[in-house]
Amino acid sequence: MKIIRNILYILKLAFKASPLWVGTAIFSFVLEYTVNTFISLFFIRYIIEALQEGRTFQETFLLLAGMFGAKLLSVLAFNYSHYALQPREKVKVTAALMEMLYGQAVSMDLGCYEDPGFYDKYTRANEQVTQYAEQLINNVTWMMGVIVSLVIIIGTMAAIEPLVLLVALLPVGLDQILAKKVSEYKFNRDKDTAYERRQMDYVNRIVYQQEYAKEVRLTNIFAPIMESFRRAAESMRQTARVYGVRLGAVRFVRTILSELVVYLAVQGIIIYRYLAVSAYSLGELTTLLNGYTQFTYVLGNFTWARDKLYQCGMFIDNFRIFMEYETKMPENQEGKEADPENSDICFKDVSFAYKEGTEPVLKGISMTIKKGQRIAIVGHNGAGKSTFVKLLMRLYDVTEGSIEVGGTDIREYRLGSYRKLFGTIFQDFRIFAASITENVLLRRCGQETTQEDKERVMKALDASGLLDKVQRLEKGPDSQLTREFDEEGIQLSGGEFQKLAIARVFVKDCEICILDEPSSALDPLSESEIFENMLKACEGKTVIFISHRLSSAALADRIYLLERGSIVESGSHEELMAKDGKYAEMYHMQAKRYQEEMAYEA
Amino acid sequence: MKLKRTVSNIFLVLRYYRKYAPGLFWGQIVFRILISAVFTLQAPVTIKYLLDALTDRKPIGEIVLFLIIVAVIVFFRHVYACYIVEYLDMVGNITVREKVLGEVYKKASRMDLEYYETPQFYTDYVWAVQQATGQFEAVYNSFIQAVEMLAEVVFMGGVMAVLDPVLLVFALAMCLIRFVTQRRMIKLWHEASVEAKPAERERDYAKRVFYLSDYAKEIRMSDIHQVIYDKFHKANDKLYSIWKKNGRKSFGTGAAGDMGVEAFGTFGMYTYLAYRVLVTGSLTFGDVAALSQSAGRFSGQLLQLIGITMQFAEQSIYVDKFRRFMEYEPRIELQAGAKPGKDPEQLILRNVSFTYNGAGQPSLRNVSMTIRPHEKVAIVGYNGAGKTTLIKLLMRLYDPTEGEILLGDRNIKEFDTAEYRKEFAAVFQDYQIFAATLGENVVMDERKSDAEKAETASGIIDALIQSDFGEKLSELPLGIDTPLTREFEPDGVELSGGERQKVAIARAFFRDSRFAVMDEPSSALDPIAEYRLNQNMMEIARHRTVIFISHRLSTTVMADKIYMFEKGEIIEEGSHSELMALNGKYAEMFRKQSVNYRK
Repeated sequence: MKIIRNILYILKLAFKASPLWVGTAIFSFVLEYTVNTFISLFFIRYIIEALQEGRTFQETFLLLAGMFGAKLLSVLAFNYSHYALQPREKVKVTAALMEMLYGQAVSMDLGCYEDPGFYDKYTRANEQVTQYAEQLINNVTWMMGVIVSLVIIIGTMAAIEPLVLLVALLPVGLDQILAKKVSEYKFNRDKDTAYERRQMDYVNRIVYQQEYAKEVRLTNIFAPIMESFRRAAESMRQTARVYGVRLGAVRFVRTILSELVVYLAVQGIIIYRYLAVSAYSLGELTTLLNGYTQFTYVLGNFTWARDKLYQCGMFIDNFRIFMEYETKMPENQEGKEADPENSDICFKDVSFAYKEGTEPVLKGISMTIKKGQRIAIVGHNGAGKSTFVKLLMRLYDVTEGSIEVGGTDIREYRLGSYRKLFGTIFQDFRIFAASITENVLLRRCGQETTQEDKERVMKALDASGLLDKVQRLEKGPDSQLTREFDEEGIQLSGGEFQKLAIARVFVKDCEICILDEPSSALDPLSESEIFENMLKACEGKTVIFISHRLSSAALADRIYLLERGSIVESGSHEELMAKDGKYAEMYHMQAKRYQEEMAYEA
Repeated sequence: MKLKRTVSNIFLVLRYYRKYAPGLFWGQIVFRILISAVFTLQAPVTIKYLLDALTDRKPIGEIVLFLIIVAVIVFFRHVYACYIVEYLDMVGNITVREKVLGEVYKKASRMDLEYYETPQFYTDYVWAVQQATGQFEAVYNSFIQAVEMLAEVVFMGGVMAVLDPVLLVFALAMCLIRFVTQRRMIKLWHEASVEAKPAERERDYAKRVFYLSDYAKEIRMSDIHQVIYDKFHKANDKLYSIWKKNGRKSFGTGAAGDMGVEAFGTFGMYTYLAYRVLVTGSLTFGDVAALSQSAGRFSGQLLQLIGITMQFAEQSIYVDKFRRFMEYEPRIELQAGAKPGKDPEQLILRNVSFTYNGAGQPSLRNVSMTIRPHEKVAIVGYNGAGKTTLIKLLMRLYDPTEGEILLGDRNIKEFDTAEYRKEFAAVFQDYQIFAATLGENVVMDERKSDAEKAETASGIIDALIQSDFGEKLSELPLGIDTPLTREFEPDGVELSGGERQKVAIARAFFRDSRFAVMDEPSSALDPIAEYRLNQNMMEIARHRTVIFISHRLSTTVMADKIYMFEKGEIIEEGSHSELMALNGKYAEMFRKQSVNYRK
């Protein structure tokens, strides 16, 4: 059974993270249930037999003291595992699971983020890990106590009256079939409402993400969104109604079989056999009757724990699927080490589609970039420029053709070493809640950070034009960015963030610099400054930049104009202008106003 | 948290259930009491009856009749269970979820923008939006469980009271011990959770970074994940030591309480029962069996109740966040007031200064400007010069810290906020496309009836053509009814960056407002589109006032008036030729930018 495998899987992980907690929890539940079961089965019988056999109260008292001792032990164990251990060990187990998730996330192929189904599982696993790990351990350990108790009860009753066993277990087989039906309905219900849930999540996002805040306030766009939300809720309710009737019917059959029929049958057998055949003593009769009540009660616990476990099982499922996903591009896969000295790039008839069967984003791209060249990739939005650089950095693998660096197919390099060749500024670069130094070096920085590293950071900040700002800060380059961890954390403006991102390239000892529209959030003055600086910093290195501003493209050794995934023109600025094609048209358009003004001024 | 607050938080949740799913609310209460009553009948009552009947050798017919009556009652209890658990519960919870979220969303969408810069608010906010419903369900589930346990304690106590009231003394002692230790446990737990909060927030940062696709590329291209891991481990260590400390105290209290309960329960009660049977001989076997069963259940359920109240205390913290969130009062958003007039009016800023919440430096300092009707105004300057802040103030997303903004001769604070904002059409740097039809994304208003839609259709199409979206529009078979994004429609259209921007710009074309505000509108456009847009902007400007922010000085050339900002202040103002003649910062910037285009 999958659910059992899942539970064992997580239990194993939890046990590894905190053997003390899991062990104690199992012990405490098993002890508690054993003690309670024995008391409820045998106490009255003992009293009855004591009376029948004329035993003294003093003798009984010994038994009571023993019972009390056992109870105390079980109470101590329970409190220890639940109040002393659980709160703190839960932190440990959760952290261990989270770390597994993150480790996997870091090496997961970027394409996974575009697969909504897979990504959804990851998101859910990530969100639920804190909540469910604890619930799961509680329920599993509880379940063990319950099972031990059931075994004791059934064993005791069967020893006195084997028939009872037969009757009680008869509906179990039928129940299995019905249980399957229930999970099938529930699964279908969830499947049928998955879309609505996603829709509701979307509305959630609109409300809590700040990006949407301005437009939501300035316009009435929220009204149609809320309408969609209500529609989604209504459709969810409809589905729940339909499945509610079915689930109710199945539940009805199940309970009638397992509780009512068995209830009557068991009581009937016991009473009949006691009265008609005198099959057992009065003491045994009480054990049987008591045992049966106890049995229904513990069975109720069992069902409850099982349902809870099913819920947790969904979480484990997400977790497992995510953990067992094998990255197509593992970071440390065996492979050649990249050679910085030999980093000519060659695209050989490269095509790429994000998903199989969809329109390719790049088609038949071939080009050679010699080490140290400056290349500009220009083109309309959606022409495939960003995809081009993602392929080069092997964030995705090509669909057709091949990319060679230093004469070797890039798939043959060890990924980690290959990616070290690149310094990149993405269009959508991110700032991390860490110190400025760490944000520039993009790695751990502490005592072990050398003076040399620090100087390199300052130099890079200087080159990207952020040094002034940084030096004005109280803690200088050690200042924490964002307020995530530090109430005094520094909030930079959009342009400053970009400068910081640019400093990352300056500091990195890379061979190939990739600048994906690096100037979009800068003002013109710092734009041209930065651009010059950037080229200076990248001297001797290969530079590939993507920009709409043809003014900067003019500085490239070679320009590639992309249109709908193909290269339509290539050459130096002069060559392309002379050709008077698309590029020239674009350039003229952009330059027109400036030139008019300059002419006017002159 | 005070007990009173906890109770009132739980009641808050229950009120929602009572209001939005009354059938479920009352049905569950009745159901839970019924379960306990039936169990009492099935267990102690039945066993007493059977043992007494069997020792007395009652006729078998009577016994069978008794069993059948019990069975019929049990039967109805199960029928009711099927209805409540599988049907009512599912449907009711969906409704409660919908209503609670609806309230949260409504509240959130009317919250002043400045709250976003308040960390406390933002935490409450994100929480309320993301977690409210899950926690509501949890509180409700705990509540109905508690009802069941309480009912059972009462019923079992009743059995005991009927058969032997002395046992109630033991029961009361158990309750008392439980009550005292329980309060202390909750207090301890609460103290620790407050202490753990900051560390938890730190831990969750890693969660965000590792799961948002935004960070994915950088994480793959660098070793920054080490830094995040370090922070993650540190946060976990902090949490561990906080809970370890708490664990020691809780264990002591919990164990003492439980041992006390056992002393009265297991030991005291059972000894008493044994004494009554063996020494005084005043109880029948049936009595003893029923009593020992009900005593066992009594203390068992009482023990469970502590667990539930602990859960309540924990859940109450979450509800509290919801509550705090719902108690925030917007100052700007819901303000009522006058309606702006129809005639062309000036927009005047008088010595306006503005400082963001929590920021040390003001973002705008002593800014004064007069924007005449139909004027085209360009705002230029370095990043962080205060340009975006300025337009946010103009549209009253924030109020100035000092100075005032006037429309005509009235302070804009005197207007009804919603009405005042209707005067503006805005395209922001970080404009968003919503999961609605293309037309709705242009109109940005409530969903219209079909008749109204037909009326606006030509206006929408015009606006889209003006923003250079015409070509793409002709490729869409559903035209302006094309659903955008795949959030609600599986075959919704995903637009490219440039196309999205064009749609955003079309909003400004469509909206018949006196003012149009554009924050760097051309940044994601390619040169050809940008050129066409600039031409069209002139078109927009024909009958309204346009205020635009741009880094591309090429577009500022066509402005009537240019304001150059630096560090929150206006340093130069005038037309393009005036500023070029001034030969100041603006002229320097312009030359720098155009140098590459010179032939």
